[in-house]
Formats: sequence, structure tokens, C-alpha cells
Amino acid sequence: MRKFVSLGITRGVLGGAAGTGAGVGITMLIRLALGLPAWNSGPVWAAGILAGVVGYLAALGLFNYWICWFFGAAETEEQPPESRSWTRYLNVSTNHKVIGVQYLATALVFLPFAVILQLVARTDMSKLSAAFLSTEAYTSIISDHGIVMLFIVAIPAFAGLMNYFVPLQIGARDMAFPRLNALSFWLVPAAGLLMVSALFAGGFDTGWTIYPPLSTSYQPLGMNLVLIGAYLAGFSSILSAVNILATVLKLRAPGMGLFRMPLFSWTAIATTILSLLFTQFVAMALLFVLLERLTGMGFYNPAAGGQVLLYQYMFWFYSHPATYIFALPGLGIISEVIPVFARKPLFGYKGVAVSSLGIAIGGTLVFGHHMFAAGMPALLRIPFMITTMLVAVPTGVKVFAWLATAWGGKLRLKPPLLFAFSAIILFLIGGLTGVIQAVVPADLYVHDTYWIVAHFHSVLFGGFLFPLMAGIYYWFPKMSGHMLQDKLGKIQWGLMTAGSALLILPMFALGLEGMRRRVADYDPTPGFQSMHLTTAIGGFLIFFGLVILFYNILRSLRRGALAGNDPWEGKTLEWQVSSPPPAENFLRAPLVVGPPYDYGVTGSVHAVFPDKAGQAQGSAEN
Amino acid sequence: MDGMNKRLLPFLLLATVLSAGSVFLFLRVFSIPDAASVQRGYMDQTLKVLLSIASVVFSLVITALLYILLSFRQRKGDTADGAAVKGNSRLERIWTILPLLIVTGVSVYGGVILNDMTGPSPQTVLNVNVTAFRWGWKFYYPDLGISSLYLELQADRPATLHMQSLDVVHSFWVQQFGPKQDIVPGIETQLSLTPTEVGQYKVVCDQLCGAGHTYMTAPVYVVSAADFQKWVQQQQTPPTTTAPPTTTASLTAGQLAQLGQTVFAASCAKCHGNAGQGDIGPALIGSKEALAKHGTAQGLFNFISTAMPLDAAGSLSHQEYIELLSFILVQNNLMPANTVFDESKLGTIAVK
Repeated sequence: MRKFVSLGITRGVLGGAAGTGAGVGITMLIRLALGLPAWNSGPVWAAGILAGVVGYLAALGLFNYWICWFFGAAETEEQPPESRSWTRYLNVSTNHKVIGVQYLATALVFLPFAVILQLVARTDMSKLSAAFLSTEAYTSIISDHGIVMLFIVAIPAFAGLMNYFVPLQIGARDMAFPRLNALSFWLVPAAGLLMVSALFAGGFDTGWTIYPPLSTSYQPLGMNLVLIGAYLAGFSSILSAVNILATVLKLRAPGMGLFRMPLFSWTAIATTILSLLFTQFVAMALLFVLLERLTGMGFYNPAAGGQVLLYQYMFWFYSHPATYIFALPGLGIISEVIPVFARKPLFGYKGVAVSSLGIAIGGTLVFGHHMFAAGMPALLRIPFMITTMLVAVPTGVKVFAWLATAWGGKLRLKPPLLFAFSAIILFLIGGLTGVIQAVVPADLYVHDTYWIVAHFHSVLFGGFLFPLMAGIYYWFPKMSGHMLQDKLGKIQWGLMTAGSALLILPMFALGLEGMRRRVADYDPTPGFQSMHLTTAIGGFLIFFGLVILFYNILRSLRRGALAGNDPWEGKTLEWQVSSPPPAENFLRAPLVVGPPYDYGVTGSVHAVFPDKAGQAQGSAEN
Repeated sequence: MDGMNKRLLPFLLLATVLSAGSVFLFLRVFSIPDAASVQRGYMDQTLKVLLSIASVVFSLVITALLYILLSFRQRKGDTADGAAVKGNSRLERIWTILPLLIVTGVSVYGGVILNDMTGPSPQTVLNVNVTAFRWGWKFYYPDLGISSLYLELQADRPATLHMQSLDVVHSFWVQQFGPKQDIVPGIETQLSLTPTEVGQYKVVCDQLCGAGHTYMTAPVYVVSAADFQKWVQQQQTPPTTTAPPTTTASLTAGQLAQLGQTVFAASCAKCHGNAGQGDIGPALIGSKEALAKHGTAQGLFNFISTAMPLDAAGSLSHQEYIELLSFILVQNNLMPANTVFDESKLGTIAVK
């Protein structure tokens, strides 16, 4: 019991509850003093939650250092040397490897929740029985599915892998700002809790895009919870981006010029440039919705001098680059995995590295393609059509490079490679349909139909979900010291690949047949019901794949075969240390002397580890 | 190299067959249902061309992946690395420049189509003001002075819709006509359509607007020029005032309410709930919140007889609306069941 109470997360929950109570109470008193009725659920809960978040973070101890520094007191004791107990993941840690696992575990907890939400919705839409979801329930469920998947699963999962592996790959001891790193992580469970709670506070039926005036004028309390949750998640993303960028740009080991850096760290640069510069726009867009809801400020209210479309411009200015935030690390993982499992250098490494920046920068110029039907000035649609299509060029460079890397290799068909190949196919479908949608006349038909839903699930599965699986199977041995079971991995891969096909392909057809998205019902039309049923079956297959993943992880943590330092015969720096790595990563500092993927190139060495006498040693140990 | 060439040939063949097959598929067999406008003609052509290009690229990549999976697997016992090929500048240049040329070409194509599709409207354009609201549609022909709850269009005559929203963002879409256009509060958005096939269609709202979004529809009729003229004349003739039907003269509110219950179940329950308790539409029985904004029973009658049921506004008979009104008033204790129903006195009955 004592151990439970002493856990950071327990303190955090208690602090959060206390803060919420205090916030609610103080707000009610202030309202009474101003002559207003004490209770108004919107402002009172909003103030309460914000106070609760501060209480939660403070009780976790995340502000301790800065408070002590402010008062000139000596810095409090750092945590005693790393315990190896699993409870360290429930405490605040500044070690990037602990934080990486915390991010990943959080994402993997919310992933099945968000999937199950959509399974319920798909079952209702399959019409195997009378509708069991009211329209509001259906719309709230699909809206929460979207927003939880994007902010609590996609961004944190890759934040976790980047946190864990970028310092290792570049030969650093930890991230540039370890304390900030801890703060960035702990915002995510709070954001997730808020977005889940929204379903119990009336839900929200705006879709994940939260357009006003629907969001400002017609939503219950649940909308506010989602807005605050999204704001916290965005904040986490920005802070994490500062950290990763500073780390990659300033803490690389000697000899690691940018063109000797692994691709995953390259895509980390591209991703975090976007998170750092663009998240603010969605934060403001959503903050204005919250302010309009709570105080009546008319940002989006034409009667008060506001503009409805302002929201859409600000929202999509971030949310398009966001799609690259979701996908770029995944594309980096594919670039890591194929050379290792094909035993060949990454083909055209420089082109692939630079294309990451090309995708990121190009992706900032395309956001208008979400608004072709929105009421934007008609002529503006042409430049956005052009820029959207241009982004296909650096993306194509990656896909062709991957094919060329695998060509002539000696493919080891392990789960990481299998997931990478499925990812390529799905991402290709998504990318090609994206080029189709970029053409304005085509988009004016498919916009807001199931075609669009199919498109973005295709790019998200290909750019996020399958690379995440590849990354987990690739790097789990390094993180835990145990191998995941191959056979289970292949079964999971089969289920998820088949499930994705059954999920996505009928939705393209449904969209072309005119089925709108975000509708809770459809007229009896030949073929519609069987297509919806097929997508539901696909969803269930994917879910079963995830169940196998969790079983595989939990089983392998205890009984998996020992991994050793380098089970995949990789050359990048994370494979040159023990599994799991020592607390400070490298017992001897690395010196990078060559490129990271020169498999098959005789005599090529990526890094050496000079000992005290300056003698180059092959390993970082003793 | 010879070995590889021999293995390569069947796959090159496969790639060609797949590509050609999919192009054929999209150009000949594939079609989106029921094109019925000039704009759809452009859009269908665009989609077919783009899907064909995409399917060729997809076929080539899939074939390459299949070939790779079948030809380059690690053989048992072979622990050596693969060929130490780090790149090929020429190939990399090709696969950067060629896609660049393709997407540039497609952009130009798309721009040309868009330009053709949204060309300037000639003098004979039919102007229609469209008002979208939660959750229905109203149409007004400013040049003809006609109001309507359904959209009447003339075949082969361009129409320009001038659209406004009363509350949230909606979107106008008739699938068979092609393009959609969002309707944004505070500004007017426009859409140009030239329907080509006589028939009945449906406009749907394609931007999530709340609980009634799924059912926010209105009928669209495309008729010949002659029929359109007839319709215009009919609409412009002032309606003859009809005396209230005598069938209500001797019936009590309770009797009418009984009949109204049947009408309610058939036309209203799907949105307002079986017992009027509310679902997509607001509660009508047990809560007077939604009713009160109409002020009097006359106001309520005017509203339901023109705007309800949402998906077929104004389609019930006068008698049926009277029966419905009685049902709602009696159920909410706004009118005693044993009073004789007097239509002329509806303005004196307050609803609150």
C-alpha cells in the first residue's frame, strides 16, 4: 500500500483532483462575488480542469526544480540511481528511455480504446440489427475515435520512439532538456483522460475537425473537455519538438555529420520542425472556440464581426502539416528497417534524407486542399492543387528508394520487414488517391464522402500504424532485452494486412457511390450494407491483430528469448550497446567514422568507441 | 544477369497486363452512378483519367514488390549481405524528374477542366437563392418571385445557386449533378450547375451540422423547358383562399387528436420519437420548449404546415396538419379534449 501511495502517478491523480476541486470552488466564489449565479457548468469546469492540470503536474513533482531555482534554494536530490522496477514507469523520470516507454505505453493503452469506439460504430452501420446508437451517440463516438487516435495515439507513439531512439542513434547520453521531456510526457495522459471523459459529459458531435459555429453554439460540456485536452496535447507536442530538435542539432557524437545520421533521426528533424512551428495555429483555433463558448467573444460569429472560415484556415494550416507529423517518423522507420533486413545500403541515402525535409516544407503549402468546397476564393484553389501534387515528388523518391534498396538484397522476412512492406503498399494507395483528390474537380465530388475516409486511413495505416508495428518488432528487443515471438508477429501481420484491405477498399467504392461521411444512417442502396459489413469485419481483424500484439509483448517481457546487443545485425548506434541500454547509453563515447547503412560494403564501419588510450574499440562495452 | 533477366520477363509482362487491364477497367467499365449534369461530365472524365494513371503506377509498384519478395529472399544458410549498391544518380534523377513532369501535367489538366467547368454563365442563367438551416432547405427564385421548399430546375439551363446559412456550416450536394459547395454563415457562397437529365433527385447536406444532418434533404426536380414554364406560372398565381374544410367544424379536439396520433406515428415519430419525447428533433410532448417559440397555436400551425416533416416539408394535407396540431395541443394540455375545434381561434391559444 505504501508503495502505491508513493508512486508519482498516485500523487498526480490526487493532486489533479485537489486542483480541480480548488479551481471549481474558487471560480464559484468569484462568480458569486460578481453577482453571477454560482454554477455554470462551462466556465466552472473549465477553470476547475485547468487548475486540476496544474495540481496534477505539481503533485507529480514536475515543477520542483524550477520552484527551487526561483527561490534560490539548492536543487533537490535527483532520483536515486535508476531502479529496474517496473514502477519507475509510473513515476516522473528524466531518463529519455523511461519517457520513451511511457509515451509508447500510453499510446498503446488508448489505441484499443479508440479502435473499439469505431468497432461499435461500424457494427451499428452494418445494420445486422436495428440501429442501437442514437445519432448523437454515433457522431460522438466517431468524433472521439478521430481525435483520440490523432492526439493521444499517433503523435505520442512516435514521440515515444523518437525519444527513446534519437539520442541513441546520434550517440548522445540523453535528450537536451530531460526535465522538459518529463513535463512533455505527463501532459499526454491528462489530455487522454479529458478526451475520454468527454464521452461521459454529453459527447460532442462535430467530428474531430470541430468546425464552428456547430462547435461554438450547439455542443454540450464534452466539447470543452475535448478542447482543453487537445490544447494540452498540442502543448506537449511543441515542448517535445523543441527538445528533439535541440538534441539532434547539438548533441550528435563527434564525426556524425548530418549525412552520416540514420534516417529515423532525419525524419525526427523534419517532423519536429513542423510540430514546433505549426501546432500553435490549431491551439489558437481551438482556444478561440473555447473562448467563444465560455465568454461569447465573437471570433467566429459573423453577427459579432467574426468570420466562420477563419477557423478553417487556422485549423488546416496546422492539421495538414500534422498529417506529415503522423507519417514522417513512420517513413523514417521504413527507411531504417529495409536496409537491415535486406542487408543492403539504403539506396540513394542523401535523396531519401533530403526528401524528408522536402515533404515537411512542401506540406506546409498545401493546406487549402481541405477547403476546396469551403467557400475559399475560387482562384486560390489552383495554387493549392499544384502544391499538393508537388508533395508527391519527394514522397515518390522515398518509395522508389525503398524498392531499389530491397532489390538485389537478401531479404529476411521477419515481422519488421513484413510490416514495412504492407506499409509501403497502403501508403502508396493513400498517396495516389491523394494525387487524385488534389485535382479540384475530382475533389468537389469525393470531398466529405467515404472516399476521403478511405484515403486518410490508407495514409495513416501506411505512414503510422504499420510502421509503428515494424518499429515495435524492430526495437522491442533493444528496449526490453527480449525478442518478440516471430510466429505471433507474422499472424498479427496477416490479420492486420487483410483487415486493412477489407476496411479501406470498400470505403473507396462507397465514396464514389455517393455515401457521405459522418452520417449515422443510409438509404437502402444496393451493395451499401455489404460494403459496410465488410469494413466492419476488416476492423475486427485489425483489432484481433492488436490483441495478438499485446499478448506477444506481455509474454515476451517475461519469457521471450534473450536478445543480446544486436539481434538484427544492425550497424546504427543503438545496436552497439546492451539490450536494454545502460542508464547513460554509452559506457564509452562513440566516434562516428562512416555511413550508417553500408551493409555489404567491405570495410565500412559506422562508429568506433575509443578507449582511454585513444584506441578504437568496436564496442561500447567496458 | 541472365538469370535475373529470365525471371524478370514474366514480371514485366505481369506489370504490363495489370496496368493495361486497370486502365481498360476504369475507362470502359467503371462509372460513378447516374451522371445528370454538364459538371458531372467533366468530373467523371477527370476521375477516370486520374484513376487510370494511379492504377498504372500502382500496378508497376505492386509488380516490383512481388518480384522482390519472390526473387530476393534470403536462402537457407546464406548469412552474407546483399549487393553493396549505394545508389545510382541517373535512376534517382529519373524518379525525381519523371514524377515531377507527371504531376505538372496532371495539374495543368486539372486546371483546364476546372476552368471549363466553372466558366462564365450566359444570360439565360436561372438564379436560385438557397437557404440552409438546421435541418432543411428553402429555395427562392429572385427573378421570378417564387418561394419553394423543393428545388425545381430546367433541363439544359444553367442555374446559379446563391447560398446562405441561418446557423452552422452546411453543404449543398446533389450527387448526380457533381460538385458540392459549403454554405457558410455570414457570407454568400455560389454554385453553378447545368442539369441535363429530366428526373427527380435529392439534395443532401454534406457538412456535419448536428443531429439532423443525416436526414437534411430536399427534393430536386429537373423538368423540360415547357414544364418549367408551367410550374412558374402555377407558382406565380396567387393561391385561392380556401375556406377551412368543414370536416373540422363539428369534431372535438380530442377526436382530431386521435386521428393526429396516426399521422404523427407515420410522419413525425422517426425524428421526434415514438412518444414525442425527442430524438433527432426536439421533444414535442412533455416539454414545451420547442413549441413555445411559435407563440400561439396559429404560429405553430403555420410552421408545421410549411416546414414539416423535415424531409418532405409541406407535403401533408391541410386536414392532416390540423389533426397533428390537435394531437400536440391536447397531449400538452394546451387545449381541452372536449372543446370543439375552431380553426379561426388558433391565434388566441398561447403556447408556453
